[in-house]
Amino acid sequence: MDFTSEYFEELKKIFDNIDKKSIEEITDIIYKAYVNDRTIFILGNGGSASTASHFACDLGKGTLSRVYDHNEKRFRVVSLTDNVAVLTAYANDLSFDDIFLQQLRNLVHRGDVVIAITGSGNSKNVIKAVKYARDCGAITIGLLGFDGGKVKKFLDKYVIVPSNHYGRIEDVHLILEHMITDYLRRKIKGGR
Amino acid sequence: MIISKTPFRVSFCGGGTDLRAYYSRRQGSVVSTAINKFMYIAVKDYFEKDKIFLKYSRTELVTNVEKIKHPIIREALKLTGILRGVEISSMADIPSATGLGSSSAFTVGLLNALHAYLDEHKSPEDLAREACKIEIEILKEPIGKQDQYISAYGGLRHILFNPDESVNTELIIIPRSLKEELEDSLLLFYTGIKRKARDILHEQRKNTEKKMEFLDKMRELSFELKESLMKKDLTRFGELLHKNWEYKKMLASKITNPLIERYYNLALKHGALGGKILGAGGGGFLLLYCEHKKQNSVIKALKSLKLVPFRFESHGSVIVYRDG
Repeated sequence: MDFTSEYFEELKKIFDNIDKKSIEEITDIIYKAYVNDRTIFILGNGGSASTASHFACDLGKGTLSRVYDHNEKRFRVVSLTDNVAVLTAYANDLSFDDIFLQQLRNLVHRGDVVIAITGSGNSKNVIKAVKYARDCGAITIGLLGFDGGKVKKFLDKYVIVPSNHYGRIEDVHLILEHMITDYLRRKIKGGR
Repeated sequence: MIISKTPFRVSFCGGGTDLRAYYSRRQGSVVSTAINKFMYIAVKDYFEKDKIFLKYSRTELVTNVEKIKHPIIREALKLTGILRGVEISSMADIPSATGLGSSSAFTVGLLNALHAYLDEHKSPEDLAREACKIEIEILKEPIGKQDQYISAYGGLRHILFNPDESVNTELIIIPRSLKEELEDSLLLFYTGIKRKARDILHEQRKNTEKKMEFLDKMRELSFELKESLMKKDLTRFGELLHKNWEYKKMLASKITNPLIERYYNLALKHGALGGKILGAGGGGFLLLYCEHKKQNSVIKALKSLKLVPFRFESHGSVIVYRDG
């Protein structure tokens, strides 16, 4: 098989084996946050950092059907990967492990939703942030890969991309992000 | 810590038309009032941040919200997104399963307290809707929607249930003197019988199609009952209450029983004009309309039953305490 076919075959296999129910449950949690005006925080490192930013953009803007309507209800969503000053300040002064946790300290509130995007599930800064969010009474969600890693046990709901390849995992995380946004747009239109 | 206080209710007329099996075909209509008997729910942080501690007629200490046995608490926590680190306890003026709408008062009060715990304010409409979602849609209880609405809104109300699931709640505004006279003319007795509403309601829900004509009558009576209040005709109010009870008894086999019949007939003989068993039926509380001057005789005749004085309550579910 040629390289491109092989790549697509691999992705297809992932889609066949991914737990679809958990995606629905995650979407439902995000929808409830929207209904109740709770804030959604998204975080991750590397490729997952860019997916976090992308996700926040899509939830914030991509769900709107009337951009110019000032009364349309919107998502309260923040990606913790976008403020370089804050990130470098905490990394420099404290440790890289604290860059997400410290931002949550400013903002997170009981009932909010924290979405961790991580292929390995073992990044220390992600685990620390998720544990802190839990202690604050936030709902914790993960988009994961491999076997879910150490962060899994601190998450209320997660979906594992069944692959051991960072590239494929990150591919699918991005697809999941788009899928959830689309699903939410539909839920909002249907009012449920 | 948060404490919510949520009124129980006394429903006068039209109960049963608030079931989906009825109002999906024809607009349902009930007249009902909140009363000054309450459900109190306290919610606070729990010492162990990973656990949930519950105190009601039992206690539960769980590590996962899914493991909670109390169905309403489990679903309310999931619905509001409080998944750990919380302690909840409940207290009430009246025992449960007695027909004063305690389970919906519990659901509405719990939701109100949980939202307050999250620094959120929910309107009575939101609370009633969420309570209906939990009790009827998620837990599949065979109940109607009137209890959730009257607990959330409070007051003496005419409530209409539309086929599209929307609900109109209209305050029945009457002079204070008339309201007091009505309160003074109502007697509430506890039969001492606790019952499971579910069996009766299951039968009633199954019967809805066969019993449409009775339910239609009860629906009409609810409009007439409201009219009697507008016309300040309390005698008529008492008579309509009696008519409603006659129809209500037809809806399911266990709504009344020989003991209830005996108490009711005794009360009529001694001067009551009408009344009904509150809630699903089969036991619980007996409500009677009886002019003040004839009450002594009725109370004596029913002396084996506990008389529970009450007044109408104008407030729905409220947060009565919050710190921090």
